[in-house]
Amino acid sequence: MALPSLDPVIHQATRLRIMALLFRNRAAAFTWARDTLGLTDGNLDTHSKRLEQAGYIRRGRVLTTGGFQVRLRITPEGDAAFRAYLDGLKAYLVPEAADPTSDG
Amino acid sequence: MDANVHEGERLTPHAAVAEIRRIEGLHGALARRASGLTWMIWGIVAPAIFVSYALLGILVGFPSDGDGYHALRVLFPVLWAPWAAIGLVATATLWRSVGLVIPRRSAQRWEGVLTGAIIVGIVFTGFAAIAVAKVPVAEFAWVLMAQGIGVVTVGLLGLNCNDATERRLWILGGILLAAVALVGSLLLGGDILLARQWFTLISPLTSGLVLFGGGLYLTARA
Repeated sequence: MALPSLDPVIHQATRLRIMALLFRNRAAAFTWARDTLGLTDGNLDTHSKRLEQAGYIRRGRVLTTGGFQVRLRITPEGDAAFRAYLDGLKAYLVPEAADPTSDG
Repeated sequence: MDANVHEGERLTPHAAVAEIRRIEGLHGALARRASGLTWMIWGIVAPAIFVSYALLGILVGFPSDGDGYHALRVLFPVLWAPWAAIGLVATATLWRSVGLVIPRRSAQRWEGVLTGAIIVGIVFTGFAAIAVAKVPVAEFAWVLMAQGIGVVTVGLLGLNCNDATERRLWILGGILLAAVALVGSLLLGGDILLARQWFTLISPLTSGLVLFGGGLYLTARA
């Protein structure tokens, strides 16, 4: 049986971590996500823009007591895409669990 | 935060799973511990409410000249409110502190308010029904039962639950509260005076043990 292809937008180290964080929290301040994931501003900016272009997250500016803050929020499409990605991952992992001699 | 896979490295499915698990683990433990502390806060507030009402009942029952102590009856409908406010403030302060690390959805804040509304609503609805039906009831037994029903309802609705274990705790804890109220009432054989006396002790103890103990369990698991 052919293994499903994993969404290339999500299946990248940094973008996966951003999506995993937003899937759990639904929204996050840019600076908090940067510090939590250990990224640079540029790195997070580049990858969050890519996710925004794919419609998986939204970037917006919110006025807070500390001034304007960039916030990242997962979209319903992003939520669905990440769930599909998780389902796709299972297909890669289950056959190997059943056959320990398979190459990883 | 150290990543399992660095920028530019090929991301294997196993590495992807490890990354997702690590992100989940970042705040899972903190959220579980905060939930446990929330349970412990209410494990102190709930018995305090029972004890306050017991003391008020004693005061109102004192013989007095004129209508001195009986005037305190006006406190019965509202005596719970200051304690509930203390619990709410403590809970909100705790979760605001947690929020410095884990941003919380506004929906999760509303779940806390809804939880309180469900439990208080069941208690007062029951009292209204009792007043209309004019059925003799040990009030503390009803409040313990209502608390149990409310807690089970919250668990079944999945409110304020970080994971399946916490949800099971809500449901089992609620069942335990309601079961103690029911079994105690049955054992006391319909003697309202005796039931009122015993439940003055049973209700706060049960409420405190279940809520505080449940919270201790959650924090220990975190």
